[in-house]
Amino acid sequence: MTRKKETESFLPLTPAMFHILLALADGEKHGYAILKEVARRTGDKVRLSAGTLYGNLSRLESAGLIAESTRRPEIVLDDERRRYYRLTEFGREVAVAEAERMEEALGQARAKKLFRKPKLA
Amino acid sequence: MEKMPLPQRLFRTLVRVLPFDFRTNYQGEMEGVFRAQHREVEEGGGFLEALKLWKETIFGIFTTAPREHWQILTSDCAYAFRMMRKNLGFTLVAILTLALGIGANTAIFSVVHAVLLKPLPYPDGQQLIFVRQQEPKLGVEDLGFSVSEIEDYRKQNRSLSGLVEYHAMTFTLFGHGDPDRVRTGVVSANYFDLFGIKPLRGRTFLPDDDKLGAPAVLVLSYEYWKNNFGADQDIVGKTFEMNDKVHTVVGVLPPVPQYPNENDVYMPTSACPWRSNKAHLEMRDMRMMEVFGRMKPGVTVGQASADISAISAGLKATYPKFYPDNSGYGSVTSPLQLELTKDARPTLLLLLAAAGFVLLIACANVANMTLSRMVQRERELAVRTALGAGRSRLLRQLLTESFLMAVIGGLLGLLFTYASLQLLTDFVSRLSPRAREIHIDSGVLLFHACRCPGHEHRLRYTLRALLARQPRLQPQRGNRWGGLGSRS
Repeated sequence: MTRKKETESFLPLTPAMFHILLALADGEKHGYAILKEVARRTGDKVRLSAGTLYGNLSRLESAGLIAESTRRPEIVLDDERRRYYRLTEFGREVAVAEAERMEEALGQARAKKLFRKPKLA
Repeated sequence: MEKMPLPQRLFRTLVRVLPFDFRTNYQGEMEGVFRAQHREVEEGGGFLEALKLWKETIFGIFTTAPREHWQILTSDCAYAFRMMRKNLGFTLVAILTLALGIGANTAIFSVVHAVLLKPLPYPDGQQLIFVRQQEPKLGVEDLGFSVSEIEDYRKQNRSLSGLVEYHAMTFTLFGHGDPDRVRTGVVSANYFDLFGIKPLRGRTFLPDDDKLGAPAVLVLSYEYWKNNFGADQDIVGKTFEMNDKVHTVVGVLPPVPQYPNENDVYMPTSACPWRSNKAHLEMRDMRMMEVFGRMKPGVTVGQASADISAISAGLKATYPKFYPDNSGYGSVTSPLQLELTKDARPTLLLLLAAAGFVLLIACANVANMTLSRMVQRERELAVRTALGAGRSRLLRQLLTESFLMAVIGGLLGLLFTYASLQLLTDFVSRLSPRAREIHIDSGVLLFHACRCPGHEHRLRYTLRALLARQPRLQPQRGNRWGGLGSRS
């Protein structure tokens, strides 16, 4: 399977998966930090529970979209019970492909006047 | 040791629905996340927020658990299929053995269930009885009934809500193509009412149909109507000639088993030339009928039997000429279900026992083969344990393999059952009229498939093997390869 086909085989991502990949796009995070970041970014509209979060992390990890990070914060800031996750190169490609897919869908919605282009400030 | 707060204990209990591997990987972290979430809610002080958190948590776990279990099951199945392909000889022999055991048992148990165990397919079938007159001292087990005797029993009994007569004859039916020899059930007018059979078309017999000289009427059996009249929707009202008389079809029976015999058509007693001739009507010893009854609600077979026996004793005292002392004349009352199956019972129970032994032998064979296989797979189990597979993970894998083998064996067994059931039905139809009710019993098949004989032995052996190697195979943190140290 070519890389592109492999990437597309994951699409569309579930909202929870996409938000987790987005949360990891700007750096490694542990589970609770991902959960907080998703809630903050979506204005609490997407709330992940522990079960949903780790179910998705498990699947993303087995699919190779994320990986456990070997880098740890400084000892004073670290909690050894926590694991940190990072976005893999492949995971980034899948996230980009999903964003492009959504953008294309949004463009089609705009063309049908189902959606107005937001005014730039 | 400090006691864990209640919410966390509840959360830990909740998490147990997730697969073992998943918990091994993520339980600690999940508890940490939940602890932090719960602390936030407590600090916020909102009861509704706490409720919302629990709702989301429960929903999250219960939607994740089936997905995770399914994922493990599919990967276990794929692994099991690979192992089965790799050991094709073992797999084929084990599956064939299982299929034979399961097939034979399913077939026999389906027969036993349909013939001996299942209630009669009539409303309150347990209230139906069969009455028999006998002269044991003369070696006559079933004397039959005469018209006068039936009238006496009908009038004098206090335990029955109805008593009907039956006998079977073969007549020739004219009027639809070639003359047709039809098996005819000659019955009382309330025969079908007593059994609780409602007609599929038209009606059954009325009391007026049973009066001497009444217009002759017929009720067709479902099979005869379907096979000989192509399920003609306008059959009611059509006329045919039989015994030099015009007979009008008044109804069609539904597809129910007919006891004591399968008949093509039914007629009321008054239409039978034998039953309605003068000699039969008047002579007490002209016996050719069988008698069925329905007990009144709350009456037991014992009570009905005592009632009927008292009538027999009365008849004997009143008409000593017809019931001589040296005959030992009396009557026997038995539940209809028992009566219909009495010839088949010993044979079927013997067959069931034989099939049980076949399954036992199949179990022993498969268990032995599995045991030998497990000895060969010790190293594989050791490697998997050393790589971090928990005990329950290995058991789950082995159970999946057994389950798959049982399912395949069960499906093949189903084919064996189908192949053998017709033979068994033909055989049993000589012993009991209930043979036509035989069909494959899905509950029985499932029971046999679930009791894959390898399960217990695999589990027991694996547990024993793992416990014996516990010090060597226990995965250690930071040294995942330690378990193989002494073997490599």
